[in-house]
Amino acid sequence: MKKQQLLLSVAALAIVYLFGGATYAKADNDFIVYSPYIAQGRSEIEMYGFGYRDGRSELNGKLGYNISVAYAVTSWWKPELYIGQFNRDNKGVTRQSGYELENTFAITNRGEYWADLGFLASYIYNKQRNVPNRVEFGPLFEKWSGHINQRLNLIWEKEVGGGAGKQFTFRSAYSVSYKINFNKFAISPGIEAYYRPNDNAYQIGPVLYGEIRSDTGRELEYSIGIIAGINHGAPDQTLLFRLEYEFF
Amino acid sequence: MRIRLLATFFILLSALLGLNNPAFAADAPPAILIIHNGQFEPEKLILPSRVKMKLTIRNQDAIPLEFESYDLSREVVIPAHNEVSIYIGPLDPGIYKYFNDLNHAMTGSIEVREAAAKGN
Repeated sequence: MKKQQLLLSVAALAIVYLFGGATYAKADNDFIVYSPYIAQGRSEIEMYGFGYRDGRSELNGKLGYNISVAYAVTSWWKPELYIGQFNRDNKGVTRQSGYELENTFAITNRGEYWADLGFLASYIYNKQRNVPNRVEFGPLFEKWSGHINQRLNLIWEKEVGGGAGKQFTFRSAYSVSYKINFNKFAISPGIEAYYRPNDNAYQIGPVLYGEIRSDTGRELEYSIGIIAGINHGAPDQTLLFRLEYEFF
Repeated sequence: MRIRLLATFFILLSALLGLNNPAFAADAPPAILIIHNGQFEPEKLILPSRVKMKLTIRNQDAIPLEFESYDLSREVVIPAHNEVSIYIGPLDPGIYKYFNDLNHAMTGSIEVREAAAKGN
């Protein structure tokens, strides 16, 4: 029965990838692999972003970054407010693209099933004229196996409001890492992969995660990586960075 | 299209949730691990083998704790004066170590025994 269910999951994923949506959409500041885990009462301040390097002038030099604050209201709900989303185009002009209210929900208890499940639901307010607002949603999976951590996000996006398109767009992100733990800090070398069919971009590359901890639960997390485009439409290289401060 | 996507999602979800279907110690009360004055109580928890168990970790201290165990493949933050329940197992008989990732001096272990010898 387990093998059948695994095959069913793979088939379901294949269906999603084949029919996940066909609208051509602008890449946003969404180079992140979300975790479904929530610690009640913990606050977070986060900044993450990306930068492109490519031989094509329309891609080279583009970058974007987000700044957000979050508070886990319950053990199963964490709202996060993106107080700024910024994008710089290939001409070097940086604009604030909008704001976002993101909600993470923990659906299952740790270890209750083969993987831990959460859900993401967000509303993105776009400041740019004639660019519709958006909602995005989808399941978040995470699994620990000894020192190895894996995450998988399946995210659907839909424009809403005036001028909104009718199509859902789909993207996916996956990460795997190996935690090497020390007394007050840890490092986790890993890999991130991004599947963005609506941007015609498929990317994968190494990422280094790290955390510095205190006895009282304050934690500084960071990651830095370079992912390579594995198809012609993707940027040759994308630099990823993330910094997050967590505290009670 | 929308219906197909939603159907696919629920197929995936039900398959995922059904992937692990071991024997549950469903009628047994959860095992309790308490954090008090910077110590795990009991320092060695004894649990039965080959069943999935609910483990409730209750933090009675004023600072948070991060329960971490590579033997058990679990990592969870327990806020101060709060509790979190996780599931572990099914486990073969043996010793499984865990620690507080915020203070590595705090350590403990779970001894898994054949079901007939379950204690604690």
